[in-house]
Amino acid sequence: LSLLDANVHWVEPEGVPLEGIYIGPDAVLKEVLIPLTSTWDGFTVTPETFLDAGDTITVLGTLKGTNKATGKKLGTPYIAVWTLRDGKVVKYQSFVNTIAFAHATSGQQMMTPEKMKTLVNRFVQVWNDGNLEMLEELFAPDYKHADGRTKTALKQNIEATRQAFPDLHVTVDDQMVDGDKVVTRWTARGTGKKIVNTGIGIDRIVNGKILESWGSSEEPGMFRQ
Amino acid sequence: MLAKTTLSPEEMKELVKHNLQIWNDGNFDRFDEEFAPNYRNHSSNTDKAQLKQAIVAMRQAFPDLHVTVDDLIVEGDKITIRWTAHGTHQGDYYGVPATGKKMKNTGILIDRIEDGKFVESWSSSDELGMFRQLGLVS
Repeated sequence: LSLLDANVHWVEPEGVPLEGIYIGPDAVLKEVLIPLTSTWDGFTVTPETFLDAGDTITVLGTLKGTNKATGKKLGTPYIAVWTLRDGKVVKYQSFVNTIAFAHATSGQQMMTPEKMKTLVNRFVQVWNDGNLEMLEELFAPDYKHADGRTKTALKQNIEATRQAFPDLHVTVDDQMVDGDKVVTRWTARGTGKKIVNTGIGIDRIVNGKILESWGSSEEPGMFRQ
Repeated sequence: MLAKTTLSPEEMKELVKHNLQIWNDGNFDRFDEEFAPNYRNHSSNTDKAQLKQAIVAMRQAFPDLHVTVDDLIVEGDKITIRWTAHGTHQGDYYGVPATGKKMKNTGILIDRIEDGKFVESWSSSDELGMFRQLGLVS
């Protein structure tokens, strides 16, 4: 990573799970390299041919890995163009066979761990602002909590809780992502910032939506009074 | 500075699976080496000695206690464990004599591991549900 310029532009091609432009070594590490290892087993990049054109080096090679969510293998050629200035990488742009990625991740719309956390945090926000419409966007139609609650039951649960605690405020204390699951540790506060409940939830995300969840009796709606 | 042991995700999972066996077999041989001296569960506000007492008390109340691991989720130095416990209430439990009733409890535990030892945890479980099954609350 020390070879990357502080303002490096890292371009992942359109049509792959991590598509986008990432700026700076920190973003490259946290939003590209770490997510790759958490969503693929044995992800390897094998450079085979180097085409050196001064400040621009083009690398031809092979990408390999097994998608954790689908269990499907990827093995596809890639081209990466590295642009250097003063011995540092200022731009990286890769070109891959997006069909191969689509095949390996089919049935699974891949998200970065950061995007998965954001999705769950938008759900946490619904407890705070009562915007129940948002649930349609965040949850799969056949969503089910391990305790049996459907999306409809969840809506009623949120509504009832917000009636009982109009100033309910749930904060996220910690979050972790592994594969297709997000763990969220939270605290719910009511009137006078008094802690009314704490809990831990696990959400599984499939195709960009929350499909199932676990968490004992500890949705914010179940309060110790 | 002394080099610290950093466990791989697989090693973290193995440590957790081994550690949870204590609930099933009551074997505390490796308890001291697996928990750091200053270990703390922030959710139950208990230390290492209190955790040991809780396991002993639970196994006295539910001698056939069986805890299974349903899922393990690792990120960095933390591991989340989703578990299910089964047991029959055959001994005193928080002053409540044996009811002979079966209980099932589920929960989620987050452990942070440092230098190969558990240093802190957060937990949540369906205790109210368990008390209901035992008829301790209505």
